[in-house]
Order: sequence, then C-alpha cells, then structure tokens
Amino acid sequence: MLLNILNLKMYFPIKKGIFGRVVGYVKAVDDITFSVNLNEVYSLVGESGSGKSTVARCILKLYEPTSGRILFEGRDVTYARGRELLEYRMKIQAVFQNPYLSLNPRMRIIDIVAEPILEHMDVDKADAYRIALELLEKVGLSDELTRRYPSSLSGGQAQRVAIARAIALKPKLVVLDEPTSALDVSLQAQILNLLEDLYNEYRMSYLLISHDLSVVRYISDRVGVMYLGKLVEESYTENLFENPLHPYTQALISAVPEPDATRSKLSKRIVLPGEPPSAISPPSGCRLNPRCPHAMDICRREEPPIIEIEKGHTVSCWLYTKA
Amino acid sequence: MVRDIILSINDLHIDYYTPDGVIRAVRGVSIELCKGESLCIVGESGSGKSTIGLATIRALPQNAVITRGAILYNDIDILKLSEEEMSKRVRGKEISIVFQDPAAMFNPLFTVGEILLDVIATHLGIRDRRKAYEYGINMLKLVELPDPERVVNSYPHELSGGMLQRVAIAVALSANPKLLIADEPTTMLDVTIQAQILDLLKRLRNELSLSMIFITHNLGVAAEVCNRIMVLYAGTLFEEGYTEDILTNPIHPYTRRLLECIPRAGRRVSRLKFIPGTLPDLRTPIPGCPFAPRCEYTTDICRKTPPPIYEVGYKHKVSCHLYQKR
Amino acid sequence: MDLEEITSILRLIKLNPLSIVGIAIVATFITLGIISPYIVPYPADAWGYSYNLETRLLPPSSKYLFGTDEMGRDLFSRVLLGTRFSLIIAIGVVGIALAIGIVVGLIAGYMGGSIAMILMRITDMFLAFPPLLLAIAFAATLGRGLVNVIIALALSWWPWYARLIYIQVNSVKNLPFIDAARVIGLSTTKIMFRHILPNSLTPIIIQAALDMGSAILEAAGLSFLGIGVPPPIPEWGLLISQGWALINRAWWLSLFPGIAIVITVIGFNLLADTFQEIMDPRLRSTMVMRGI
Repeated sequence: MLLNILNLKMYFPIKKGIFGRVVGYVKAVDDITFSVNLNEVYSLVGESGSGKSTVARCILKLYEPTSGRILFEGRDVTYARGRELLEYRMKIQAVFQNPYLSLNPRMRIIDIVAEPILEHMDVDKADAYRIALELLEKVGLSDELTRRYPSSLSGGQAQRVAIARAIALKPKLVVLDEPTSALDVSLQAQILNLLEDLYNEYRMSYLLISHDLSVVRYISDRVGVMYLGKLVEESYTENLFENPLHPYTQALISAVPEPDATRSKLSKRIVLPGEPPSAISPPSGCRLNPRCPHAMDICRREEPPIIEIEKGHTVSCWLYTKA
Repeated sequence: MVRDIILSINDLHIDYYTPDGVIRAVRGVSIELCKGESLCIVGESGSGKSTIGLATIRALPQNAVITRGAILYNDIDILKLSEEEMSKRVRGKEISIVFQDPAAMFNPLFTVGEILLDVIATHLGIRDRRKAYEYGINMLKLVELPDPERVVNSYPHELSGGMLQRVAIAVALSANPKLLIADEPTTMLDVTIQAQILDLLKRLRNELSLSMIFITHNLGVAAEVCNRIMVLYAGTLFEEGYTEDILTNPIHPYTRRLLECIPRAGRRVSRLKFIPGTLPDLRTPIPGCPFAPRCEYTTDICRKTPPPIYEVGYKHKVSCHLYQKR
Repeated sequence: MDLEEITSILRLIKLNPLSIVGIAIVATFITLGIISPYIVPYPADAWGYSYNLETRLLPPSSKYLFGTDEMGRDLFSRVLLGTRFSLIIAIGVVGIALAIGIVVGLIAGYMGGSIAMILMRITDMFLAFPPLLLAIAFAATLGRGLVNVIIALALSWWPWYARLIYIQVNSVKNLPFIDAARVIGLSTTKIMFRHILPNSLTPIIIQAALDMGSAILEAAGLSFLGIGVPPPIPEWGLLISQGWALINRAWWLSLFPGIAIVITVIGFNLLADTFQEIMDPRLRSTMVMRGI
C-alpha cells in the first residue's frame, strides 16, 4: 500500500471576538480511513462541503490535521518536518482545479516547469531546462508556447503545464483536485486521456478529488463517497456504479443528467429533499438522516458502523446491519 | 397545429471590443422559438451562447456591439426600443433572465424580502406592503423554498447556492413573464441540488406555460429540460433539432464528437474520444467552417466557404458541407 | 512581459493624451535631474557660491530668465539645479520607505500569527499620526540636511507601504499557485520573494509613482518651515521660503520654483494614473472603447 489515511479528522475552529475565543468547530473531515494502493487510481467523490478537498489538502500537508495519521510507504508523515517533509514532498505532487490560478502569472511556462527540477534534482540549469522542455512536449505543448506567460494560454493548455510541473519530479502519487472541472468537455477528454497516458507510462498512483461522477467512473479503480465529512461508501468503481448501496450514493448517481434521450424517461431519479446541513452542527446519528428516504429511528440516534458487504465494498448505513 | 412564434432572432452578429482586438462572438445566428417551447442553446465556452441570451434582454456589457441582425419578441423589435421602454415594458414583464451565479445578482445589503418587494412594486404596481408581502411569500412557495417566512428576512449570504437560485427564479418570475432565459442556472450547483432545480424549472414551465431558452454547456442537462436543442460553435449554428433527434442521431461531426467526449464507462472498457485542437481565434475572420481545423472530414471547401444550413430531417437543420445535396 | 504585451500597452498609452503628458513631464524631470549640473548657465550661482550686489533682485529678462535673487544669483540656474535635489529626495524617500515597507508587509502577511500581530501594531502606531507631523518631528530631531530630510520623510512613510503590501500578500498567499509552490517543496524565502512579492506589487507601483510627487512636495514643506534642506542648496521649497519675505518686491522669487513643483507633482500624478490604467484590465477595455 502506498498511502494510508487512518482516522483522519480536520476540525477548523470558529473564533469570535477580539481575543479569538473558540466558539465551535467546522468538522470538515470527521474520522476518515482509506488507502491508496500502488499504481491505482482512487477517487474521492462528494458535493461541496463533503470535505473531500480538505482531505487532499491534509495529504498535501497544506493543513495540519486535528488528529489521525497519514502513512506514506509505511512511514508516518503526519507531522513530518524539515528533511523528512522535503522527501515526502518530492514523492507527492498535485494538480489543482483552476489552471490559471495555479500558475504564477509572472513566470514563463518553461520557468514554472523547470522550478521543481532546479530545486530538487542534482542537475545544472541547462539540463533542467532541457528536461522541462521534454516534459512540456510530453504533455502536448508546442515549443513556441514555452516562452510565454500563463495568461496567453487556453485553459486546457494551462492545465497541461500544471500537469507537466506535477510529474517533473516523477512522484509516486499525484493528487488531482478537480483537474477538469474548469474545462469544456472536449478539453476535458483531452486532459483525461493525457492523465491516463502518463499514468501508464510513469506507473504512479492518482488520488482524484471530484464531484463529476462521469469522470470518476471513467478514470478510477476504486471510489470513496463522502458526505458531510464522512466516508459513506467505498468500492471498486464498476461495482459502486452498478450496485450502489448507500442511499446517498444512489441519489448522487441517479442525479447525474446524461445526454441520453431515452434514459430520463425510463429510470426514476431519486431526488434528495433539502440541502446538506452545516458541518458546524451535523445531525446526530447518520448524517444523511434528515434527507434520507429510508431514515429509521436508529439513524437519528446512532452513527452507523462501517460494514463490509462484499470484498472491498464497504458501506456505512443502518439498512445493511442485519442479515 | 400552427403555433405562434414568441421570439425570433434573425442573423445576429455581436462583437466585443477588447484591448487585444475585436472579438466576433456571435456570427450570424437565427433562432425561432414558439410559445410554450423550451429551447436549449448548447455550446462550449466561446460559442457565444451567453451573449445571445444577454442580447435578448439587452443586458450586454458596454464593450459589446450588435453589428447586424434583429431580435423580435411578439412583433416588438427589441433592438429598437429605448432603454426606458425596455425596462418598463419588456424586462421582467415579458422576458426575464436567471444567471449562473445568483449571488452576484443580488445587492448583499438587502434582504430577500426587500428585493422581492422592490420588484413587485416596480413591475406590478402593488404598493400596499401587506399585499406585496403576501405576493412575495407566494412566489417563494411557488419555487418550493422551505420556510418562506424565514427566507424573506434573510440576506443573500445567509442562503446556500441552491436556495439563492430558487430566490432568483422567484424574482425573475414575479411579474409573470412569458419568456424565461436561463443562463447556466445550475452550473455552480452540486448534482443533487441541480436535479432539484431542473425539476423545479420543468414544473414551472408547464404550470405557467412559459417559453424558455436554456443556455448550457452540458448536453446531459439539455437532454433533461428541453424539447429542442441548438448546438453553437464559435458564434455559429452547427445543428438544431428536437432533443431526441440530436441525441440519438447527431448529424454534425462536432455534435457527434461532443457526445463522444462525455465519459460514460470506465477507461478499461473504451478509451475516451476527444476533439483535437482548440477553438479558433475569434478575433480573426474565419473564411470557411470554424470547425474545419479540428474536424476529421475536412475537405478544401470547408476551409474556403462557410457551409449553408441544410434541412436533413423534420425540423432538423445542420450547417455542414458533408450534407450538400448530391 | 513579452513583445505582444508591450505593443498592447503602447497602443493604450497612445489612446490617452494625458498619459503622454505625464510620461513626458516625468521623463524631462528625470533627465534634467541627471544633467542639470552640466547645463546650468551660471554654475556658481546655481550652487550658491557667488555673491553679486550689482545684479540683486533683477526681474526676469532674456539674460536672467527667471530673474535674480537678493544675493544677485540667477534664479533660472538655481531652479534648474533644484530638479537634481528634488529627484534625489523623491527617489531616496520612496526607495527607503518601499524597502522597509515591503520587508515588513511581506513578512507580516506571509507568516501571519503573532509575528504579523507585532509588526502590524508597530505599523499602526505610526499610522495613528498624520505623516507630515511625524516627518516634522523626525526632521526637527535629526537636524537640517539633505540626508536627514530623506530619512525623516521615509520614516513617516514606510507604514503606508507596509500596510498596502500586507493586504496584498494576504490576498495573494491563498491563491492556488502558492499552494503549488509549497507542494513543490520550495523554501519560505523563495515562496515569498519569487511567488508572492511579484504578484503583490501592482498597487504599490501606482502608489509609489504618486508618492514621488508628494515626497517632493513634503520636502519642500519641511524646507519652507526651516527644518529641511539647509541653504545654499537650491531646493525648491527652500527657494520659495527665501522668496516669501520679499514677495512684495520680487514676485518671481517664489513663483518659478512654485511652478516647478506644481508641474512635477502633476506629472507624477498623471504617470500614476497611466500605471493604473495599464495594470487594471477593466480600465483597459474602457480605454479601448474610448478609442473606437
């Protein structure tokens, strides 16, 4: 196993007044455990407020988690500092949602890609720039673009630059935080294909953070579904899409509008009423209970345990506890 | 059955003046919309779809210029009206619009109630506060907002994106318009909330016999809500027809490719098709078909002459040289 | 900045005649500041080493363009050489204030927490006083002299830059490209100076251009009050102050250095406007609209 996330919690304190008294917590991520294997694409899906991006930021060490542990290649990196942190950083990279905002607008494309190489690899300047050029060519950017600034690139091109930068150090794991959601479908397809090619060539792992189920279904090996800071279901991709167990997963999958003239008339859509409640005071028991069509008494009282239904398919729902 | 045409847009051309040159965003688009019909304008960014929506309600930004064409709403020539007549007679009362980001539409200093009362007073002339309040509450009930009495006293930032979009729809519909333009109304929402809003729009369309222009980049959303689809690319019409026809029998190479781009299964099953290249530079004149540089069937004629519009089926039009009468 | 952008900026400048005026004034001011010692008609008069009773208080003429002062020195030469001192003051004050302000604002903005707390409270203490009052206090303590004037003004000025940079850094440091830089594993110093600072400078550059004019004005004010540059240095404020006593007998003594100050300050203001228009994309497109 490459990455293990054990009982990860990330609570953001809410401060009030001039002395910054803590009056409550936003429980963005509340006790999550999962793992990413070597050479695997693992996706975390969920809607806004589910905490999926917060998990990613904890793994990228942009946040320090409230509690829980992050193991990478068996080593505990939760509180890594200095040399240890740097070694971890070189093995784990990221591609962010907004390609323009994730590139420094005052640096040329070639400098952006060469930066991590110059920083960490033992090469001279000429070599670093040669490697950067090769990377840019690999992600499909023509030579003339490399001397330009990010603002003169299209969204798809800018995302290619971000990808080139992410793979520059040949990382073991790349965190893809909504890598295509700012792009049009035709460009999205280009980027997804590029990511797949790189995945095959470099034999790395991806952790994809996304709200787009069609992208998740296309690229992932395994999927974890998040709702309000909890992992509610986890399974192999096809299994999850063919046989979703958790009421939230079922609603999520059925809500995706598909360009299929026949579909919308045939299958009944499950529409969850209302909106996700606030993560400051989540509902007691199962967090979905106020919106769930199957809510029972126990759902309001107690948090459901995580149950393994079949090999690799777990769900956290009271509907599946008996039997 | 002959149906009345409520909106007809004829050969519309719109330019944007920017520091980097003149962007020809809309290059001759014609639209006919019948009463009670819902038409989806589908296109990727840069297709000019939102520009057409804004032009219909005369809300284009200052640097946009309509260079040619006409927009007729029930025989009213929208482009010839004065700004005052436009506000008094058309906006809100006849044509309303809902945008992608409702938060940007509302003044953050006013409560939902104050915004609603203002619209109700100006458009319907209901000055009596209690009557207007009642009317407003009913509008909020119409868009299925839970607890309307609480929502009325909330400020925009206290509401979630989905609730705010419901408020925006209530505001847009409060003066009983006949035509609603929905410009990517669910793009910023989560899928489960998007499903709610789409259901709401479909219900309202039937109940209020609204005509609707729905602008979106998402063919899936288009399939859900509309009976007709128009596919736009680089400011030109590529294909138009009934939703079933477009989805099951796409004719234009671009429409076909666009449908194939949407991932539907796992990567192990089949590799994703994609459209190579990018949108042409909209600042330069495009002599032939704008899709020619990215199309797999491009021939000489595609690069030189813009394709005319061919009728390939019942109300199914396509603008592509491939369908030239043999 | 690439060639395309430069041509686009030049096109914008061409559209606005006032930008051209501003750039022309500032360019002339800087050029004169550099070459004036070599082109003044009466160098000894300019530097104030001469004394000539026969030419006392002559009104403007073709020989003495701006007239002469009570020591019989050519005022044109003195005003012309004054550009050099004004230039030194403007660059010195803004330069020192920027250096302090940027370091303080950048560290406070990026580090946050208690470091920001301490640094920004110190800044606030300075901001609580009117800057001119502070400058007068510093100048009075330090004593007269060109360097002392520059230090006094810079000390009263840096907190404004520190605050401006602090606000900018706070908005830039949460952008994804800063996260990306951290994920790459760059050191804090590199993130601050390579990624945050270049993206926080826009409003500072505009403000600095504006302040060049103000620095000249305030230095003149200090000289006028008698706590600035000592005579016989031909600083404009000092020239006005010296002419003030004789305003009834020799109007030209205060008028010409006054005009010099006004033109220079206007020049820097126009330049700041131009910077603003170039750097703000929204203003850019309105400029293009004006051009059509």
